[in-house]
Formats: sequence, C-alpha cells, structure tokens
Amino acid sequence: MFGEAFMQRALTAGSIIAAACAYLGIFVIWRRIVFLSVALSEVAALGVAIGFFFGQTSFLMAFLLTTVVTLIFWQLWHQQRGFGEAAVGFIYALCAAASVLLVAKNPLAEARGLDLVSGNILYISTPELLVLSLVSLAVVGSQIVFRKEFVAVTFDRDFALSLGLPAGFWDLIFYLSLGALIGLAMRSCGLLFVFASLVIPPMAGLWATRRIHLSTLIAVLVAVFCVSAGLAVSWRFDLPAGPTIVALYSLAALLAVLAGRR
Amino acid sequence: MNPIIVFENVALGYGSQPVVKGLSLKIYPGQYWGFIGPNGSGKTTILKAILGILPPLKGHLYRDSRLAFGYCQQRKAVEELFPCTVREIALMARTRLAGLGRPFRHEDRAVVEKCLRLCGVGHLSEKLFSELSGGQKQRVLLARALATEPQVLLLDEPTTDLDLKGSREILQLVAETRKQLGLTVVLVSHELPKVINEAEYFLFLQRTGGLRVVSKDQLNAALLSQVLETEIFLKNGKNGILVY
Repeated sequence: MFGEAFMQRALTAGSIIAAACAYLGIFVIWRRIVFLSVALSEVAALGVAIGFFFGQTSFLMAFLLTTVVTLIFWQLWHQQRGFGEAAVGFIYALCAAASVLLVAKNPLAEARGLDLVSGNILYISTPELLVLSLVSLAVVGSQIVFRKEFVAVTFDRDFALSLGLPAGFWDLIFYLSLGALIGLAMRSCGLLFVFASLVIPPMAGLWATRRIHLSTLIAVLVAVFCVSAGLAVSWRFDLPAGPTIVALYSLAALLAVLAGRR
Repeated sequence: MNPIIVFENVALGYGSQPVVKGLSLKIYPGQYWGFIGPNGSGKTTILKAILGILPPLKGHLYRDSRLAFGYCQQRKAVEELFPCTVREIALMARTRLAGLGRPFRHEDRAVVEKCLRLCGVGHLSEKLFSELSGGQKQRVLLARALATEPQVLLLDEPTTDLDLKGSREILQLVAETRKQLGLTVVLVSHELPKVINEAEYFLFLQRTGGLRVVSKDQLNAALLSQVLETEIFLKNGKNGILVY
C-alpha cells in the first residue's frame, strides 16, 4: 500500500507533523495551554475555510490567520493580562461557528471534499509536503537547539528572568512555532489530527515515564508509529485516516498508563 | 563602602496599582536583611524589583550592574508537573552561563554537583523533584540559587510549611553558606520568630502599607508591637531572642 505515491506523501507528511506536534505538545501540557492549542486549531480551520470561500490558497490563509491570532494572544499574555480562559473560549467558539458558516455557503468546499474536522491527509500535494517539512524542521530544530532555554522558561519563569533570560522572547518563539505548525498542518490533516497529535502522544510519554527527555522521545515515537499504523489500518478497512490515527493514539496512551504504573 | 542596591522613594506594583509605596533602603555588601510582613504586603514584589523582573512605578532603584543574584523561589511557585530530576533543576541555574543554544559544560555540571553537596542533597541528584520532602525541595532550590555563583542571595519564604527542625536546618545552612561564600542575603518571611536571630537588618512591611527599616540592635518589644500591630514579647534565651 505504501508503494502508491499518494500514500508515501501521506505517510511522510503525517509522520513529520505528528512528530513535530508531539514534541511541542510536551511543552503545551507543561505550560497548561491545551485549551489554547484547541483554539488555535480552530483559528487555523477558519483560515482554511476563508481561503476556500474567497478562492485563495487555504494553506497560506490558515498559516497567516493563526500567526496573527498567536501574536495577539502572546501580546495579551506578555502584558500580564493573561489569556483568560473565557477569551480563549470566545475565540474558539467564534472561529468554529464562522468556519462552519463559510463552508455551508461554499459549494466549492463541498465539491472538493473539504473536511475541517477530519482533514484528508491522503490528498496532500508535493508542494504542501515540502513547505510542511521545511516549517516542521525549522520549528523542531529551533526547539532542540534552544531546548535548555525553553525548558528553563517553561519550568520557572521568574527564576529564568532572574538569570537574565529574555523569557518574553522565548515565549514568543514558542507560540509562533506552535501557531505556524498548527496553521500549516490544518489544511491537510484536519483539526482532530492536529489537536490530538499535540495532546495524546505527549500524554502517553508523560504517563509512561517520569523522565523529561525520555518522555519527549516516547511521545515522538508513539506519534510516528500511530501515523504509520493508522494509515495502514485505514487503507485495509477503508476508514478515514485522521480518526483512525487518533484512535490508535488513544490506545497507545492507555498502554502508556499501564506501563507507567508497573 | 558603597551600597550595592539602593531604593529611593520607590513605588512598586503590577499594572498601575502600587503594592509598595515610598520605599527607601540601602543594602551594602555582606549584609543580612530580613523583609518581614504579612502575606500580600509586597515582600516578593520587592525581591522581584531587586532582581530586575519588575521595574519601579515611581522613584529610583539602583542595582550594581556587576551583581549576580541567586533567587530561591517559594516552593509552591515551582511547577511539580514537570518530570525533572534534582540535577536537571539545579542545572537550570547555569542556562545563561553555559551560552545561548549550547549544551551545559563540564564546569556547569561540576558547580551544580558542588552546590547540591553543599546543601546536603548531592545523594538525591537522580531523584525526581516531585518525590522529595518539603525540606529536601527547599535545599534543592537553595542549591539552584547558589549554582548561579551569586554575590546576593534572595530567599522567598524558605521556611514556609517546614517544621521547626526543618526550618532551623535551612536557616543554619543559609547562615553557614553566607559565611563561607561572603554573600549578601535578603530573606523574605512572614514568620518573625523564625528569622529574628538570623538577619542583621529588618524591613517591616505593615498591612496598612507602612514601611519601617530597623537594625537588630534597635529591636525591642514596643517597637515590634507597633510595626507588627499585635502585642509582642521578647526574651533573651540561650540561643538568641525568643519571640512570643
């Protein structure tokens, strides 16, 4: 099945996005911003819907909109006003409603099988794959090179500031990375896959072990394995790829709970 | 000798709301200060200003630019969800010194191991922080603060939630380390009885917003009763002053 070109692209794209999301997801959980990542996923979905509605490149629209909203969130947080659960909830509801309305009034979206929730990773094009790979590489690469700075700022912000680390700058880089990844992955992978990749494999990693580096490695491995297995299962049983992968993520997380208790 | 930290009629706070007003204070090298006041009176806010995290709303704050600070946070401010070992937490102190985007050096690891040993937690370096007792956690945070190789050690409520023995051990460790390394110490606490025998100078922060700077030899029951707004009795005991 992976001899087909579209399956090879789907496997490559899915693995890259899932691995990058799992890596960032560990920090999403530590920073307690899971709900923010759902809201950003919904913002990206709205970007895709706007792109379709106006006949623009939905890939680029999702990226731009998510980046702008990420900057707004960061600015609010940086001014110590806090995101506020209510503000994040408002953005989530607004974007969810707006994207459904735009898709409902857009025959083109229906004709092209646009599914904002499940996505359709099997349809990913080579240029999209190339852009996704480059952005993911930049995001994860910067996270690995500056890992000790990101860990220090995430673990204890005041202590990091007392060391003279520019915590606001590292926060900005983190949120922009998160926004860029979500924004670019949404068009091809769908809200469910992107959000689940940010949360479930990192949870599996953190449940399986209480070691900071090992939990990150496990999260990435779980994500890549579940994408490969999920695509194979969806091919064999004619199931939608995104939800199948998420089901496997959940199974892996349950296994991680059991492994962690031993 | 010149002061290393000077507050001149400083107002501090968050947003435009001042928490501390009219603070004037000079801290000289090697001094041991105790900032005493009830919860919410602005003790931690002053520490953040000393660290440069919080700029003054009003007035002038001078900090010697050559100073290195060691900040020992309140234990409750430290994230326990993080699966970090004791060594990993202490190494965070070397994040800036190791260099941007560079891994920790052998020198960084050596300093951290030395500080962990100094604080009596060297044998716990592979343990998870979340698995330690309150006293052990406090020692780890103290070791992390010392691993920055500071000239000024800032301690925020280091004895809160510790029993009497644990509190004494921590304060004794601070006193010994100060003596050994020649540190300037600022200790924040809401528990006067625990720190009255440690500090040489006190800043009392009153619930009403009043501030009072007092040296140890000026302390007496009447003055303390006035600044703490409750009746205080002092008694000279074998091991120092008793407060009740």
